[in-house]
Amino acid sequence: MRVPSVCVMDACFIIDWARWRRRDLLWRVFSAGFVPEPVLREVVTPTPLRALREWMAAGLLTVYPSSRELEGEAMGLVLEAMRDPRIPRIDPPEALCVAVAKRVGAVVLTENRGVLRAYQLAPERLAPAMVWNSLRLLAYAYARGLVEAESFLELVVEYEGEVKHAFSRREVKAVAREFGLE
Amino acid sequence: MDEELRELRRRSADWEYIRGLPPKLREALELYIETGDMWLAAKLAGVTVDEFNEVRIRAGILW
Repeated sequence: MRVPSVCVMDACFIIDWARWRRRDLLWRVFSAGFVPEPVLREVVTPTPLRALREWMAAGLLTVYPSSRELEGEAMGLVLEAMRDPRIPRIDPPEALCVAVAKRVGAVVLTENRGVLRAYQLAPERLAPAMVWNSLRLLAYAYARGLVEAESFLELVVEYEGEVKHAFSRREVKAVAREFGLE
Repeated sequence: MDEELRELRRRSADWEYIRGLPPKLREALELYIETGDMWLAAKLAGVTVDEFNEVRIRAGILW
């Protein structure tokens, strides 16, 4: 699996991931990251703001300015998803992350199920962007030996406990299979 | 899987807490429980995604 070295983060990913004590693992997987301007406006509480500040100060993360053209592309994706009954809803900020990731060739980090489903159904449609949720990021990092844990499941349980985000066990199994961890 | 997650959200919710909230937050949490759509629920509540997530945690709703 060839993974881009750049990521684009959505608000729902940031507010979760920032609560995890091993959040800097992100930068063992990626060398740089972007947060689209409208996504940044959604982050207002101390813990995720501190994480953003630290990452920006370290020169790892920067803001991707929005534009009418980018927003138009994002709304196209939102509309496409609304017309496809197989895809759960995609909201404008997540779609904006995809539009940015398509431009720069990055991994979108989001917990939005619509974007994940759209990517699973037609990855070539979003290429060169890839789409992962935190579970996939954990699986990739574990598979590559970038994070220590007794097992992938132990790592997931640690993450779930700290960030208060529960994954369906069916998805955990599917992702473990996807990343060759079974 | 969507139905499984919806059920997980529904079962984990502290309904007594939710019923005691102002209408906007209450409706937004119910929308989140039904759809799992954090952004849309936050917009309905009139808050940011980050602020809505704090309310979600206080309401005991699993993500």
